[in-house]
Amino acid sequence: MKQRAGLVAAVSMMLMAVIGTSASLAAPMPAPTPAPTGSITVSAAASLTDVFPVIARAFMKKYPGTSVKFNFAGSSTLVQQMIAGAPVDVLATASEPTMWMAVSAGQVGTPLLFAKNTMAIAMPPGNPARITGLASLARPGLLLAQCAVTVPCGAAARDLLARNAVIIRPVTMELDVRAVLGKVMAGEVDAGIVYVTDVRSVGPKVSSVTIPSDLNVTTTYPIAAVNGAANPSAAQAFVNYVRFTPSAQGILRAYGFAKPW
Amino acid sequence: MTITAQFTLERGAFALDVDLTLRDGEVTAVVGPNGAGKTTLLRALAGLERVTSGGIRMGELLVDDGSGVFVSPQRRSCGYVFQDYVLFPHLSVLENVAFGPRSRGMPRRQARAEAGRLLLQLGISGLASRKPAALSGGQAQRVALARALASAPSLLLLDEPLSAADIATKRELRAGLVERLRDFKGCCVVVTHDPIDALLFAERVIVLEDGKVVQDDSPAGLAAHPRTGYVAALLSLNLIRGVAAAGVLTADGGLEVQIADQSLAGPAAAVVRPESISVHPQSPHGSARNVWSGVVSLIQPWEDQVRVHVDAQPPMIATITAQAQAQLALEPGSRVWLSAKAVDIRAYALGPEHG
Amino acid sequence: MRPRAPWFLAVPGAIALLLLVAPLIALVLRAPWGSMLDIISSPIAVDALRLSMLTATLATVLATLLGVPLAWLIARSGLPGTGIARSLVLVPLLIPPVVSGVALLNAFGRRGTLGQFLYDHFGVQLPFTTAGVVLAEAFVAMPFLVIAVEGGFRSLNTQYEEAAATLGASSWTTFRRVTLPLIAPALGAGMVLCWARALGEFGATITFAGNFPGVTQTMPLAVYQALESDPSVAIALSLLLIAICVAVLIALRGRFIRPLAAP
Repeated sequence: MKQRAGLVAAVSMMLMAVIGTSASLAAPMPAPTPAPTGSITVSAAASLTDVFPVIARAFMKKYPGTSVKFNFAGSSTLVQQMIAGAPVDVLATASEPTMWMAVSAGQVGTPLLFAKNTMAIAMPPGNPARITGLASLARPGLLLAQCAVTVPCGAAARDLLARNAVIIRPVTMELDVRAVLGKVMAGEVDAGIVYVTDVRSVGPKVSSVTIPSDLNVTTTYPIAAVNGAANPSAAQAFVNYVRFTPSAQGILRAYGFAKPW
Repeated sequence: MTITAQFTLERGAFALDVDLTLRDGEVTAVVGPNGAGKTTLLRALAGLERVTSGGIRMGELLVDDGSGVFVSPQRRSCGYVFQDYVLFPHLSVLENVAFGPRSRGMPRRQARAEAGRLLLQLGISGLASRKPAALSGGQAQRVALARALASAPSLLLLDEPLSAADIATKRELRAGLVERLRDFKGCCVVVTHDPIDALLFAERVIVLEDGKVVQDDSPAGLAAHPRTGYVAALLSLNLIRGVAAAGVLTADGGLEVQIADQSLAGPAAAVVRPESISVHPQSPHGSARNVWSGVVSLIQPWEDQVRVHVDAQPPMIATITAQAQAQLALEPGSRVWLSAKAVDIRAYALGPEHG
Repeated sequence: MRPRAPWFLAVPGAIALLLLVAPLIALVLRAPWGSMLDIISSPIAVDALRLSMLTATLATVLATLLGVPLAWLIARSGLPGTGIARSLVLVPLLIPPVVSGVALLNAFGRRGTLGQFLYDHFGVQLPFTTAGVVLAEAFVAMPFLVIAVEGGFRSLNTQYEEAAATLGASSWTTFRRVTLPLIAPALGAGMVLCWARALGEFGATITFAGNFPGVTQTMPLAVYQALESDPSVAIALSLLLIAICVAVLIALRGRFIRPLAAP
């Protein structure tokens, strides 16, 4: 039973990737009828903490009478909360596998891929440990932070290091990417593996090293309306807004997210 | 050793002012009303309180001078029996008694052996393994005494040693205590509010009232010449204070009392035993006796007789037989006349320290 | 006549009991009993449990060594400022654990006010170490111990210590042979509370010491992380932790729990 659900999910995801991609090349977004109104609660991955409120403001401006509330946490936590019955209208995670969990539990409708992220190395301002790239992370004696591999950011970090054959021994595996960032900003660690969007969002509070795209790992962000949501029309309207409107995509770009296709 | 305590100890509004000398082998009783400073005196001698000025000297050693010099209780050779005994509840009787020697460095086994010996001496060796909670009042008192004696102190202090015992046990304990204190070689001070204890234990009695020593005398001297109302009441005596001249004592309240001693002059006091006072329903006529009038305030059975408290000037206590009370039909509020023969009134001079 | 429970006490009392017991029952009902043995013998679980037991115990020892003297100072010394000290001791009880973690980081982190000194001069670094976990747990749990012991000191009859003094005992001997044994119930209750609180700490430890299996990943952190990937593992680990705590409480029943109820 579980296997069948998984297969269905996999097929749906691939279909959605195709549809999502093609949709951007084809007609403009389906207009919501009637205009959405009321409030919705959005559970979003920690790495969307800065960008989503800005998108929400634009959404609320376009559809007066709507209000958007956010719940940010690690993607896996969000999914668990939802499965346990948290009253959420929209789910946006930082990896496909986490969205997969929600899909196979029958919790969400059709997910749309709306952004991509890549990894970066963040250091305390001034880069006191003189980190120059991935290879330098293997230097013994460094204090390094990454996310736990059960969290999308951690899985991506593990893939990144594996791809580049760099072996590190982190001192902590934080439970969400913002916690890693926090430790870097405080100077408690010499470097942390985070998303490029995180580096962008804190600006001068960290130094960073860009990882060349051919060496980098990307993560894709899906968004979906939750089944049985209290406000399904506004929920779907928000999902579509994030995926299809130039204004939402423009904001994502400004924050360092890449196109999902 | 000789212990001299000549100091003032101030605590808030209260001030204790003493000047006394204690000698080896001598038991001193300290009596006085509540709040007089008796316990404070003991605590100062033990080192649990510091004096404000003056000094305490134990033998050659100055132990407290109110400023720089102070020898802690640990280093004074002093045994203290607290009013509530204060036995360590978590230690057995044997360990309680061994506590002093052990604290002073004796090895545990030896200390316990010493303690065992002392318990045997005091006749309570059967209690050795019991905890204080399992002791009766009388047993606890003896353990407390043993504990204080175990370190062979030079000064033994007892704070109301019999007050926590009931009447039956008191009698038995009293006898034991008299013997122990007699055997004790050092200086000993016993605080008590029971005059019988004072008279039994001590060679010397100090009366403290409101922080001042009002009398310092042998028990016999105390009984013969009480200086204050408290002491007299303590001894169940009626006291009249005033000025004597030519066979008449003019009391402070105005009453004139005929006394036997014609030569007495100046400040004086007279004592009359309650048994020597006669109670009359009307003013007795006849010979020149001392007569007072007053209103009965309280009637108390007293052993096999009756004590009548009369509100007169000064107040008096008379002891009469039960039949007499019935005959006179006395009750509180009855007006009575009291009389006493001059020969039953013992008057004596009050020295300059009275006041 | 047997005491009867009036309804206005029995009903809320029963509801309270239900409120406390229902979550535990739910855990027992939902636990993956089939794979329980595998889960609790897995390296993650064993590491986390071992670490939790170790750090909670060390934190309690630290809290006792430091907290008993502090409690004595507050209760007995009569020094000025003891009222303020008593209020300060309560602060870790009142602030959210994460805030404690942030505060600890700012004091003892590599760039912290004290931590920088320790690091520069002695190479000592507390975050990301087991010692850091012990410190964080001691910080949040010590108030329990201090409050319990302070109550014990305050209610102790000072005459016992005076008696010991007249018998020739030095301050240390008096403290060791008279004071401590007499406050042992309060001390025991305080240590149990402290240990239990330290065992359950999450926010302060993850913020200050981080999360790394075998070094800083205590049971609460392991449970939280398991919750994200496999909730049944989280339930199994939770039950394991609860079982250990219940076992400890049963072992100490009566001796220290009664003073907790009526110190």
